[in-house]
Amino acid sequence: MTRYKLLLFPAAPGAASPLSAAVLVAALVFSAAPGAAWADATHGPTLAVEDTMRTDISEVLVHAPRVTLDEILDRVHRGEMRRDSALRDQSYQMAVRIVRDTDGKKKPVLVQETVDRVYMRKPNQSRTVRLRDWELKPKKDENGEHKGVTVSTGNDADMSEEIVNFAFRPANRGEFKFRIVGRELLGDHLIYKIKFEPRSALDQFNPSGLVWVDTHEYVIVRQQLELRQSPVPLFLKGVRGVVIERQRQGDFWVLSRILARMDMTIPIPGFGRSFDFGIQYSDYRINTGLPDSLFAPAAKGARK
Amino acid sequence: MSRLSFFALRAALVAATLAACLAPSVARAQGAPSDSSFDAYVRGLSDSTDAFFGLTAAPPDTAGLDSALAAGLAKPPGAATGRRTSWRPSLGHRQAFNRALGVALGANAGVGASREWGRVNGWADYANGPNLWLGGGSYSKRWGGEEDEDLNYGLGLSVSRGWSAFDRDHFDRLFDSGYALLYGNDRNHYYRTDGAGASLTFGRNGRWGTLQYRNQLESPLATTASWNLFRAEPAVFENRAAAFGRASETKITLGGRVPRMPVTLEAQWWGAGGPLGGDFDYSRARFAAGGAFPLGELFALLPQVHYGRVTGDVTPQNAFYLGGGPGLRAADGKSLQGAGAAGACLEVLLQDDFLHALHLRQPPTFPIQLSAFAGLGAAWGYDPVTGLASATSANWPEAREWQPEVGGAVLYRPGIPQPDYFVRIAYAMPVGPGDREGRFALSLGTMLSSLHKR
Repeated sequence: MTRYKLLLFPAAPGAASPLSAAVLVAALVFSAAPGAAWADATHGPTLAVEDTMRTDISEVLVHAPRVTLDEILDRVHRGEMRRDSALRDQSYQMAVRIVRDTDGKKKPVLVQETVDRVYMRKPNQSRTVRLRDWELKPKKDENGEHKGVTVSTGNDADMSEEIVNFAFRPANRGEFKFRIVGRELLGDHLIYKIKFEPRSALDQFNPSGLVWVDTHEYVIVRQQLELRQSPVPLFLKGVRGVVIERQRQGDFWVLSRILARMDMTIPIPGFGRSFDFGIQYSDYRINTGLPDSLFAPAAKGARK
Repeated sequence: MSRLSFFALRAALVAATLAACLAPSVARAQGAPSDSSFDAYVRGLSDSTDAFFGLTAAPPDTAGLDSALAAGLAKPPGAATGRRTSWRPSLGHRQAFNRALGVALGANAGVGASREWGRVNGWADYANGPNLWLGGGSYSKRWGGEEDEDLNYGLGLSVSRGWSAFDRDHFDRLFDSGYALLYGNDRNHYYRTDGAGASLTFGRNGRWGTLQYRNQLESPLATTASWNLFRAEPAVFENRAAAFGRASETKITLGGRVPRMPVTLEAQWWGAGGPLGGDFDYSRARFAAGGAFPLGELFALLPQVHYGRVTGDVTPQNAFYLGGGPGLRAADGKSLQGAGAAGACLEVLLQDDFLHALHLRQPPTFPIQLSAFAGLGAAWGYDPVTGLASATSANWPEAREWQPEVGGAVLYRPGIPQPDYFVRIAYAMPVGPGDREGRFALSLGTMLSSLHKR
């Protein structure tokens, strides 16, 4: 900082003394640092030594527990287990979409969309009601009519959402290397960004990923996956991006969307060489006590 | 401005300043703004996803869904689908080709569910070479969880008249039949088995084990077919005679990945005779290990070792065979045999397509990888005149028996039949004394072929 001192001398009211004016000019010339004007032109601004600016910051003792990466991974697994164990039943709407021409050269075209209402009840009951089955080029059934609403039941009532937490499961954890790549403090939410990748150099066709973990409940709120190598290079050239999102529904984090963009080595009839695959989950009802009648087996001879 | 109003203004300013300073902590205590900042963060990530996926990420049109749901719920649920479908009978075909059986064609059928009452399978083949019907049946049952982290068990019982290859460590029925049928490159030797067996398997968290017992009559088979599709000269014409006798044998296998390391260990032990009875009395052990370590972004380092030893009765069907595999690619397939075998190989694999790695092309449709390897292998415990395996007290080969080699390979990974299978064209060059020659070899298999499971 350039230092200018302005020396003011008292003057007689109403008149300016020539002497005092001369002294003022002289003082200005000499006090305005001989190099000041020259410095601006030749060396840039002159900076002061900030010897008068002192700040003392007192030591802060951090009481919050420090957790290791292993502990975080354990807690994520426990958080996911806790979430799964608290789920008794759920129903949701599931929309599956396939969109072709997503490589940017042509306008994307929706080629297929199905919408289902899915009911699940532990330990092993499920029912799926097909609400929409739309295709760009619909196939006709034997009667020449497009299929209407269909209903099916099954034994799969797995609500653990393995696609989100597969890398954190004890059986798989040893197969991946984990590292923390970021932290975000958002209000009282601490979000850990954890990256994982296959530990074996020969498993590069297995997914690598980045997960966002909310340490409030140690649940995964988002995951991005990538495949460094295609698992089937003969047919699948690569997967450019897989995004898995969760949404909060009451006390639970549940799947919101699974989206993937795939490139094939040879065009698939109807889908082309590059297409998107998306599943959207919405309209959740959780632990509402689904009635037995939803899962009751059909009477003999009843039409499906 | 009066003194009073001035004071009131200052008081208001101070209050506003204090309120502004305290606002974040008050808000944090109430929770609302912090959750909203978290929600905004998550929403921001979702927005970027929307921008990338566009139409795919757009919410579906809900028109008509309510009425469709009402119609769907009015319908009866119908019969349950899923696991019960495994009770449906299955039917398949079987085929094999080798110079002992000729063409063996047959069918298999199964019914049941292994996780419920169990699954029963039966099969029958006709081999046109020896004009022989082969067949058998098996029962399998599984318990425990279906996930990897759950402990699961399996029981298997079988009775059969079948066949097998001498080299029990490296034999693939499908691929070896293919090599034999196409151009006669089949260096296995075969024998017939008649008897029964039982097995218990378990697995959890990437570790596995089996306990097996078999009581089978082992008998030789003669060469009956010397043709192949491309009319090539068969690599081997004679099918060596197996030692005739009943084998009452127990086998134990343990394997798994080392925690936090990309290394797999595998140990096997076979024991026959003694309290088990039978015509053969031997103890056979084999150990193998392999790993795949990343070397930066581009390369992978793949070490593997194996060691095997048989004591007691050494027969053609329990000897060790070397050649064509890791550690000894420069030797013809299964051209060395002995009561003991050991080998090691160190390979560096280029992970990316080699032209893409050199920035000469975009990620290609058919990525071609390269590798370089150095290895050595040795078999010991054999007759110096005939070269056939014979009993020995040595547990380690002599220095002169080691056969070192170096080489390189061009690789393509099609992803079938398994994602980690490579088509490999390798050239191996012997190193050291002797008049051995370099050799090209075409193979299909995993990079860590010393291991049966990775």
